[in-house]
Amino acid sequence: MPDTPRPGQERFVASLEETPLREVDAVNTDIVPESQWKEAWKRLRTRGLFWISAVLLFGVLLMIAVPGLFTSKDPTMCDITMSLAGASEGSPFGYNLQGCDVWSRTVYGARASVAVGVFTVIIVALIGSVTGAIAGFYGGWLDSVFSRVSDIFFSIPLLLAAIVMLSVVNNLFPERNFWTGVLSVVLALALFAWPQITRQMRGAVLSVKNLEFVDAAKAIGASPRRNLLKHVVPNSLAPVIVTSMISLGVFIVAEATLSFLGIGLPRQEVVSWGNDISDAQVLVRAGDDLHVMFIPATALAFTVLAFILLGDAVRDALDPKVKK
Amino acid sequence: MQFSRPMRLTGIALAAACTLALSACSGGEETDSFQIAVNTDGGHQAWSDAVTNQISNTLGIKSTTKAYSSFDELRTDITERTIKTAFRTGWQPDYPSIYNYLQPIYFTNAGSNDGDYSNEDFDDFMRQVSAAQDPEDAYTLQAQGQAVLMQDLPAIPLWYQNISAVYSKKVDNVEFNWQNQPEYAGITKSGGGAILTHGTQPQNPLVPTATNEVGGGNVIDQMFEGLVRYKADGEAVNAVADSITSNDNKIWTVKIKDGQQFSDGSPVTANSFVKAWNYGAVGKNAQLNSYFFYPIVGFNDAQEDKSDELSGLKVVDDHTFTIELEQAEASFPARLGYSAFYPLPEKAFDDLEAYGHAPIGNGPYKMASDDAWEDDVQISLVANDNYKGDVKVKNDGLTFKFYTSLDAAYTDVQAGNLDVLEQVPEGSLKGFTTDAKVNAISEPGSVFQSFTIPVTLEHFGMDEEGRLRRAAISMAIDREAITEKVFHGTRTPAADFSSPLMPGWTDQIDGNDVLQYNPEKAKELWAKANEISEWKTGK
Amino acid sequence: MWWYVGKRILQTIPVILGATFLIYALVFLRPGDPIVGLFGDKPVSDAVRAQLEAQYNLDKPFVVQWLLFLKGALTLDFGLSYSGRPVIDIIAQTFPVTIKLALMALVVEMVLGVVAGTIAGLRRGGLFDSTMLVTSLLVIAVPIFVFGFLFQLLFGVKLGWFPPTVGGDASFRDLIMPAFVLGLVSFAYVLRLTRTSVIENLTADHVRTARAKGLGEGTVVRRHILRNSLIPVVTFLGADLGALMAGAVVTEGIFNVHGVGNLAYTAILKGESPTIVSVITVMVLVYVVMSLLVDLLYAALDPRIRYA
Repeated sequence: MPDTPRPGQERFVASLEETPLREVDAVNTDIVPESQWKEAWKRLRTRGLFWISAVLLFGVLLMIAVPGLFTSKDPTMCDITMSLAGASEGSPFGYNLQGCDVWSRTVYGARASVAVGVFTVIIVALIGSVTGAIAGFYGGWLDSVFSRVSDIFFSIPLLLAAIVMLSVVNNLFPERNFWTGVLSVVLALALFAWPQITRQMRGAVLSVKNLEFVDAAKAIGASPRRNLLKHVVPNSLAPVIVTSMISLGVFIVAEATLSFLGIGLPRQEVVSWGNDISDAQVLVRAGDDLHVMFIPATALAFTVLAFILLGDAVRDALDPKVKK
Repeated sequence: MQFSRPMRLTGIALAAACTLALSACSGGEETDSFQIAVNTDGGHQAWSDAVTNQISNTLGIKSTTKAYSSFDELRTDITERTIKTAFRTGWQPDYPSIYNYLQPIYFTNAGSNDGDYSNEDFDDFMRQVSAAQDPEDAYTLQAQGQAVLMQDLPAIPLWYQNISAVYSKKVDNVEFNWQNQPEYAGITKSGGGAILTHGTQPQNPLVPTATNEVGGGNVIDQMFEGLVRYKADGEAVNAVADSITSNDNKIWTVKIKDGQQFSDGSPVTANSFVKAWNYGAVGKNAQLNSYFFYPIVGFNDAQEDKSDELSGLKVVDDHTFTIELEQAEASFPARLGYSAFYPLPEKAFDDLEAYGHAPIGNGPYKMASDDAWEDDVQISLVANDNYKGDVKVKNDGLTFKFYTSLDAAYTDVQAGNLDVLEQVPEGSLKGFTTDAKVNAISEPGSVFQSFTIPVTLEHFGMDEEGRLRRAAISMAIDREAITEKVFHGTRTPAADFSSPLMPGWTDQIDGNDVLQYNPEKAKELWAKANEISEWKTGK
Repeated sequence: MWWYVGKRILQTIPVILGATFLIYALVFLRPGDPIVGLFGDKPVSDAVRAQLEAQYNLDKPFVVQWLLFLKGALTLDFGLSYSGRPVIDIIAQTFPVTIKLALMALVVEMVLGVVAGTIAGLRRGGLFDSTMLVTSLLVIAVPIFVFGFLFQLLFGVKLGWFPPTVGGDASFRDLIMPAFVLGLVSFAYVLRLTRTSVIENLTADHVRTARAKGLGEGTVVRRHILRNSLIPVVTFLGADLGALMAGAVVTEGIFNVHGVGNLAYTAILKGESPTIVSVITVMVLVYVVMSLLVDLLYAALDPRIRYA
């Protein structure tokens, strides 16, 4: 239903100096322009990086969904007498300090790390895009209020704020299990991370809201709310989606850093890469058994890499200016 | 409202998040779980995980570490009795006596009895110990008291923390005392120069009654000397005191040696002690060590600011004063070497805040200058010429370099930038004894580690079920394996509730086989307890 | 322009008020009583506890605590830490160290990031470009403390090129390795930003015009591509100084640097609100000042922007 022109439609008309005049005549104005997203998907499919990240992500998702495919060991079955025992049948990387199987913990650890990343991003993107869209679209005092409030949260360093937040949030959930553990970290990170998205969304909405097609919609009598939801928001979401994918990786690293500082996910209730890397620092100090840190760290790095690559590829696809 | 739609969306999202949270909290059937609470800022997580894993594996129950991100959170829960789990208890004695490991922790309503344990038999033994004139009698009575504890297990003994220290190739004669600290004065350095030793920025002014942590305590111990002094092996000998005598173990008369001086030349008198102790005990002065004065008559009034002094302290003349105790205690003089009982010079009271930054003491060392304490960098001490005591300073001075991480300090010892590190960091425990770049010391120490199971904990009361479960938990732990794997042999499995360094120590305590790893027996006892009251495993 | 600066400074007042209020609220909500923690495993009598709590205003509602803090802060009196030292003294001691570290990290990431990013952008698709892209991704994907440990182990302990730890008197040489580690993540962002920016500008109209005018390639790169490409980079760097100071929590911990990161972390663990709030206030100030500077610099670099 192309009742309104879409941004990017102008791309279908080549610039004059580049094309001979007769070809301009040949432009078929009856063709329905494809949506920004469809177009992007077409470009995305041709990218090598996209496929690399897709394969990596598929692997991670498989680990989350059916860990049994990768290992037959119980990651929480730890026997101190097996501490740092070498590789053996069914245990390709041996055991960690506590005598837990390194590989099986790495496989099962995907769940917590990805859960923290995904849920944090969902909350952050939700809060950020709603506040950003309202601030950008309505302007005035709403804009001032949202901007100042986001300034406050943005000005406090995320890591320090998350450390304080965690001891507060942990107290909300005296019963520690996988979900309460993940939720604590998610809340601690999300509370101070949303302003970035707010700013981005606000910027995007500001640049979109004065484009011709929005004016056109206004002219044909669309209400401001309908205009915001039907036209402005869908066309402003692209940068938010890209940032979200990249920051998903960043949040996974942030969780690991909090665990390194000793205050991330509860260790025995939640198998997580951050905790395993952090626990292995003692071994790294001694200079032996580096693989106990290396294996979960590699898994973490590849997962983060997958999300960043995906974000990169999607950005390039949405923004053909930087095409290779 | 114009923006009702987005607001509704936010509402829905929040509701979804809350539902998720709630279902997660209440999800699953109710199960019993045995948890040990530790603070993660002190390197306790690794052993606690190992211990709970073993309990879980042996008994087939859920057992995990309850991690507190900071010490004060854990401590507050313990102090206010809001803790609902077992919790770690580490104990280093204030003076060298097994009594000091037992009475403060397990005597009914004692100051550090955080598990609310109470046993009349045990209390009786403790009363007898404190009245015993002959040390040998006290040793026997202490062992009998410990036998009671082995039956009840108010806390589960784990291990003794060894002294694990390193020193650089530049220094010699590094020996450790019963407090797990080096005997600094005896250290020699080839080529001269001050001994550079590891320290941490003192957390309080350097006033003896204000300092209760090692960073400041180590410095203070070098700069002051009490009525008695502890030799490296823990024996208490008279130092500033010429004699400390009593007919009834209740009223003690202290006579001070003649000619004792502070480093500025002012005399050490009976008043130097009495005024310092009164200051320490009075509540409004908020001294962290005020609790040490509890045996003295008038302590409660002083704490509650009803009196400016301890009524039990009386100055007789310049060199004599008397101490009246609430309860008779034969070994009371042995307490008097602790830093809370050090004297203060008269001029300290002019401006204690200024004094606390450049204290004047009566010990073997003194501040190198008035600004020898450089915040976050170091404190440098030199030998005190006015010191008249028995400790001989054999080096050109002592500099405490402040570190925020032990790892950093260890690396500096390896590089020769630091001479003495009294505690090897966790990451270097493996192999520090064979590290060619340093000299290593690994020998028994005086810190006792355990975890307390409060008697109010469900299933763990002081009844038949509770005792069975406590014994089962204790026998489920393979202390040998953990001290070997997690601590690389720098902890020694416990055989009692004190430390092998203490005078009169013995591993012959009745019933201490409950500290041996015995999985079969553990399972059996646990099953027996389950017959009394069910433990919901939920598995 | 001055009107704009004035307006921006006025806008920072609610930010600082809000940020300190938020932190005070969080620290207040945190479980645990720092006073009890001061006594270690030794008992504390109620009298002494009440005395100390009153001394640090901990017995008052947190709004009152916050107002008292603000009142003091106006006269640069940030209160006392629980060790009895004025917080302002502690900050005066630790802040210069962290500023030094953060500035060094900033130089590292700026020089390396801009140079590598420009080359990568100019030779898009080449071997150097690909190598740099992979490097930058790795740097972002691997947690910073892993690098910290590896560098310390390799360059500090094994090879002995740099002192593995820093300590009290943080010299330039001591701080090289921590600064490098600290700047690593931002280096990746600067590199990617510069590269993208250079690529965008390569095909921009003004660059085409410059080329068409027959300017030499070097001049085109310097005067037309770099100048325009660096605008977003400068923005990033300005905002990053604050982030580096906060990120120093991890780096300072590993390398034993006595800076504000270390200070803030230990203060949080001890629940020492005067110190936590003061440190974070200072960081917020740095952030606010830097973003103002960046905005002004932006105007200087980009002639299209004028502040009325």
